Amino acid sequence: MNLNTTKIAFLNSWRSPFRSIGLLVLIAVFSTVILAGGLFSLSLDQGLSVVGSRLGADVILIPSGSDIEKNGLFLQGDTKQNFLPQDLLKFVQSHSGVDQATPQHYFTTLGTSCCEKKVSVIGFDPKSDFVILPWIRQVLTKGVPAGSLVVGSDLQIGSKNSIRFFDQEFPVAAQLEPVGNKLDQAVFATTETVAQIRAAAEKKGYHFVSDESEVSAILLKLKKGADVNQLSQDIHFEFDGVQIFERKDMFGTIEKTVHLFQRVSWILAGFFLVIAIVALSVSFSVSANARKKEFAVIRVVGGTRKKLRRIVIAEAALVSSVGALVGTLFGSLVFFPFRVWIVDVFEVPFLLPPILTIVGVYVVALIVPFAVGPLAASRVAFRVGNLDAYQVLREGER
Amino acid sequence: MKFQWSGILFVVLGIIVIALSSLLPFCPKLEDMEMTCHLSQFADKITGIVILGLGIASFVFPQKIVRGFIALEVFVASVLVSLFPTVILGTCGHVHMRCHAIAAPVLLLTGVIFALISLVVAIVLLRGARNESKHD
Repeated sequence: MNLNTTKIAFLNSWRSPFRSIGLLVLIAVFSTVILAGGLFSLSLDQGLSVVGSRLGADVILIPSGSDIEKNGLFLQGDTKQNFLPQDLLKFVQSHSGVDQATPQHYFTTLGTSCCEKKVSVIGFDPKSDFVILPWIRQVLTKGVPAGSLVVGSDLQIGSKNSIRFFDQEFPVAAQLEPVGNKLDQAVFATTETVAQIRAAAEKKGYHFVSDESEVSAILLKLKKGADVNQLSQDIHFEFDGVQIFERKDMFGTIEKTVHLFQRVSWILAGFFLVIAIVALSVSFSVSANARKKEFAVIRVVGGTRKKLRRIVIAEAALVSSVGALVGTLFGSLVFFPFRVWIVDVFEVPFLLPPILTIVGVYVVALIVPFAVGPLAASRVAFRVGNLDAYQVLREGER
Repeated sequence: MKFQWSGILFVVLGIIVIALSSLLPFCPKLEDMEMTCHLSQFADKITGIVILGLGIASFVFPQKIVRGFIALEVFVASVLVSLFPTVILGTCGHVHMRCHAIAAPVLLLTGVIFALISLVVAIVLLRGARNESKHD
């Protein structure tokens, strides 16, 4: 039988299945952590940057009692049915520090196109809006036609290209680019269309939709050099039940969560890197000691020192290459199908990075774990290459 | 009846598939709406029963070659467990529905892992059968 280096390495690995499978699993876990952790971390970065660019307001006014401070849900598009005091909009519009102020109305309802999933409707005033319209204009340059809706990227519209609320069809004018948070599941409507939905609800006997004058949130753009503390004092002096949040307050909460997840991903990857290197070098060292005589025999029958080194490196490369392949396959099966669930559970902005970045992560998840095997076994390979065949074969004779 | 490890393994795999397709969150039944995810759930449950049946059949046939081919059938059934909710039948269209976000990925992953396990079992059994026939 003609035995080249690869064949010898394969037969050696096959002969010790438990050691090979153990090391393979370790490398596979390392590769999975790099792939899933890398993609997760980059998706959080992408989501964060898109959410940041979508938040055009400097200050947001919301009703008291919201849990925004704890989890920054406002940025995630969570829509609670609380309302701000009437006249607050007029007050802030006339305030000296405010450049632009726009109201938003939030409510949730059941769309008939999709089972039991609730649809969040975000009503905005196209005359004063400076937050949602710039985003909508990316897909709908002429603005939103009267009576039409604009929907988030995750909503299923169906062949009719409309959504039915309270037995009335509302045409969908456009579907937005993904943002990577709950806004992808929301429906955007002008105040005029919100009034039509309200009328449809009332026809069916529902009166849960707020009055037009009741506002769920007010978004403010401040004048240059405006004092937020002064604005806050003025609002609290005139109105009760208002919470005032600056952009940095809300964004900071999400950023903290995202950075925590990213740190955990990289710590895990580092941990498995160290474990993989230690386990491989210990395992190959023990195995080389146990197989000293086998290596000596190869030397005696004409195998060069280089050949011995190559056999050890090839065994490590074989285990780590198969492990890296299995790991990336498993990582893909964990990351891509479960990503929606991960986003829903952890409520973090999450958007897949561009395809080239994804390919880059795959390359790293294959190459780094593959390199770990030969790297960890190189010291052992050097030792094996330098062994004295005569001495080894005579050991134990006396 | 001789102890058959592959039979026990396939019975366990079958029970896991049946349990998962019964316990994972699928959409609630609505009177006026036929939901795709229910078809996938039903198909996976039936496939789980088939895997369980193949496991029991492994106890009846002691020959390694027959058990090797049974393992190949379990491999095909496991691939179907993955494909029913993801490709062949699918789940509800909304990506955030529980059937789409949780049940389908879990069944996909389970099917792939079980397919790999049954493939290894098939290789081991068929190699064993070949070696036995060589010795005979």
